[in-house]
Amino acid sequence: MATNRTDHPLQAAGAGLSRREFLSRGAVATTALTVSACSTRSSAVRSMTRGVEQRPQRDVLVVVFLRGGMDGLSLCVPYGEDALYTLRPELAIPPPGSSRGAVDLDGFFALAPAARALYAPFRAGELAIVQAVGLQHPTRSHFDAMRNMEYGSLGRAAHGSRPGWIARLLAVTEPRGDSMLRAVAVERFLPAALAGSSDALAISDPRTFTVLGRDREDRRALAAMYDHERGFGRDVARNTLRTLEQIERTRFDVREPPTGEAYPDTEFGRKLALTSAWIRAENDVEVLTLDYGGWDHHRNLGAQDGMMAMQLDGLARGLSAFARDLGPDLGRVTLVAFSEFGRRAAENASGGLDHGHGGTMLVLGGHVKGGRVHGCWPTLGADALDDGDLAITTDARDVLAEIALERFGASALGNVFPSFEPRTCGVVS
Amino acid sequence: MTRFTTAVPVVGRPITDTLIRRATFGADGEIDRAARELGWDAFLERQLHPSAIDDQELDRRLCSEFPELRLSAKEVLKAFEAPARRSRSLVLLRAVYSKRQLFERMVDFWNDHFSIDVTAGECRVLKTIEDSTAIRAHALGRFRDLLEAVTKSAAMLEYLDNRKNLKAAPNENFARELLELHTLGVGEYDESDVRDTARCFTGWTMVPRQDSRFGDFVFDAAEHDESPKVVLGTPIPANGGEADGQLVLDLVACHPATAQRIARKLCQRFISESPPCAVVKAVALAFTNSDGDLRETLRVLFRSEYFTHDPLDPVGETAAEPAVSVSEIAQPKFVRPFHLVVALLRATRANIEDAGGLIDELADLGDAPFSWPTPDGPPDDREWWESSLLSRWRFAERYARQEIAGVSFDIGALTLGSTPEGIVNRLDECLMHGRMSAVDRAVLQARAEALTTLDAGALERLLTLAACSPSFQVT
Repeated sequence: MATNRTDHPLQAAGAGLSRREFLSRGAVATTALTVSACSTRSSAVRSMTRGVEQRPQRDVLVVVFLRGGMDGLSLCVPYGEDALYTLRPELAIPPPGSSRGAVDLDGFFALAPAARALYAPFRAGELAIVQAVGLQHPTRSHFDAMRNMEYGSLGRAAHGSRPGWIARLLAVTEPRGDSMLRAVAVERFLPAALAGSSDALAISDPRTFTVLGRDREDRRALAAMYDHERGFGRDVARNTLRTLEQIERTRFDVREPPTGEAYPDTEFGRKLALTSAWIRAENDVEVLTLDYGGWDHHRNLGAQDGMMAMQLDGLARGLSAFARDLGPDLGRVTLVAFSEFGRRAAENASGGLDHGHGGTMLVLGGHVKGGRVHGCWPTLGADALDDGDLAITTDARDVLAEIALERFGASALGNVFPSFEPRTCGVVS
Repeated sequence: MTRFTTAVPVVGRPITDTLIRRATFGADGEIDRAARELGWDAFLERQLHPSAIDDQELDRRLCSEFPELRLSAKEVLKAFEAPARRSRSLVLLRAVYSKRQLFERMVDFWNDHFSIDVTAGECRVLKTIEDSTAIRAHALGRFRDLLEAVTKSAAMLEYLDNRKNLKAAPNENFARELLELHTLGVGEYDESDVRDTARCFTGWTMVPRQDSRFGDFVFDAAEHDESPKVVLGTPIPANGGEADGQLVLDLVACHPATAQRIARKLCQRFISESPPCAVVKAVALAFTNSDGDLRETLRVLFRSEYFTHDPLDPVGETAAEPAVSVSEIAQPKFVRPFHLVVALLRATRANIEDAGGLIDELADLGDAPFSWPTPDGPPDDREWWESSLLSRWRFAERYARQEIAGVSFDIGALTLGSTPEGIVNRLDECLMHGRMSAVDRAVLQARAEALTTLDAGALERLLTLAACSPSFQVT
């Protein structure tokens, strides 16, 4: 799409708008404003009342936590806004058409060159990007912000000992099959989002998920010891031991995608390949979670050829390979990837970005309204920034709730995201 | 309500196992014997004064195997291909073999509190130096000294980017974690405190790697922001130079929120995940009253009711009625993988030729030293560690079968006796210090009786089950 940054219609309109009158963007700016994330709460509430009965077929949900605070402005570059280049004279990725410029998406946003592997799924309508998304909580602490995301509620007081949001999602939905294992963290440990669920296990690799295989009696002895133990490990032990045989029987076809480029040779690439194997093994696992850390770039960001470029390359090639690996199975999968926050709009003197606010979410799947950058762009104007950071115009829970409702058949969203009234954002169908 | 006493001397009370288990990485047959001979008070005091404990045997070994302990960062950079792996081996060997067990527990605590991922940047070379010049130098000293030493250490300057905190546009990484993680805790400061703290530490940097003094702290006045600042309500006048940062360290080191936070973390580490408020309060008070003297702070912690009353021995040997209810203090504490591995190595009197294989096992268990990916350090959170139960069992199985490279032990010595009961008793004594639960004991004994011959293979399986049992997952 041809574009001229200086006379982009949105750029021109942006100057006169107050911070609350958020700009939408793209060629159909005015319609986007009304149908996208800015739709009213009442219509959203109506759409949220549809129940599980109408949607017996539900997707496998894959949740990717990009831990560390991913800079969304280096992934999905708002090149249509001059302020980006004023705030980040060193770090901003040049607009499409420049030398080593970004890959245009819609005339306003463009993909970082390192993330160009996402272009194909985006164009194929399998990938949607949500900009200026996050949780409206003033914290700039990784650990507070991650807790907020994992509990789906804001502030320590709201967390308490409550289970994480995915554990609650499992609690309000009927199991899809007879399996005792409904959710798997493709990790060594269960993330807080799954904490408190008796249907979830952390399984870093199902092919090595075995112990005391020589003699059934040894396993029985172990089960007996933990069955009588009050407290420590009892539930995990029971869940592990009763799942062992099921997993040992399952064939996990961990492979490279049948077409196109391989998974990146990284931990994240390996986790995605395992995730795909879980999905294709058809064993009634409904939710898979995985982490991809390393986004905390306070210094030497290197979005073109440094650390950030490597991270983005891993993310983009990983998700692209995952989509191709699943092939037609992508039709029953929704993957959502997000970080705890975005980063400061302006660069610091050490070539890095400090902790910020609004971030970027990726949604990949067969029923995603892909090929679009969703959300309302708040602009990077001085008075539009939230304490120096990109403002949040879409609550991360709006997107998660929509996926939970539309793709996972969860109707009791009030139990999944307490004291939160989700809005429709039109990211999945 | 709980009552907490510090003034009552515990002289004459019988030694409680709780102290040995909680103040060390587990009994090895030697330290428990020494503790019983010394008695409760003397044992605690001995452990609180590590330099008086003869550790020559270990020192000699480390001295010959780890020349980097005497080398500069620049020399380490040249000499070793995998300094990070070596730094992990070093810390493991010390945890297993040092007689200064409480000191090693505290080193472990501070390495977690000031968590540094050795895979980040040049930390792979710099962490070992920080471990000895900051963490080990002050682990039982004053918190303010420890904090300053860590802040100025090359490893921390590198890890949290303060070496590139420049006045034109400060880098907030270190400043935020200093306030959030190293001292006050979230909620005790605001974003403007973070920004001004960052400005106070502009110019705190280190000698770059090209120089032979690589890693030494330097204050670069040219990069220091000399304008006035306000941190936690305290105005910091213009032109303070390096004193700006020192003033911030003063402010945060003695802040009541820091005392409370450190006290709580210590109690979580040594007592329980949800320690009794009264104990935390007393420990925080000791921290404050002693001006952050960590030895005094720990003394109060270990003299708390939790340690002086033995919940599993309520017959009265431990003097008066318990002031803290048994249910509150009797909870065993689920141990982290590192502790579990070290405890098993100690219990089996392992001979570690090369710690590399064990480091791989620890990595598999998600708890290799200096590997936590974020600066908050590994959590004292039972639910988190518990979720990897299977990998703990797998480790126990591999260890019992002697499948881990570089480490061996004499299984015969562990399972002396030829009757099932004798073997189970011996495993209980070595691994659990005589605290195997009745259920675990019954199951293990039934298993021993069912095995037709008590040969090496059978002993290996019994050791596996004992090390997998709930009784061995806790301390």
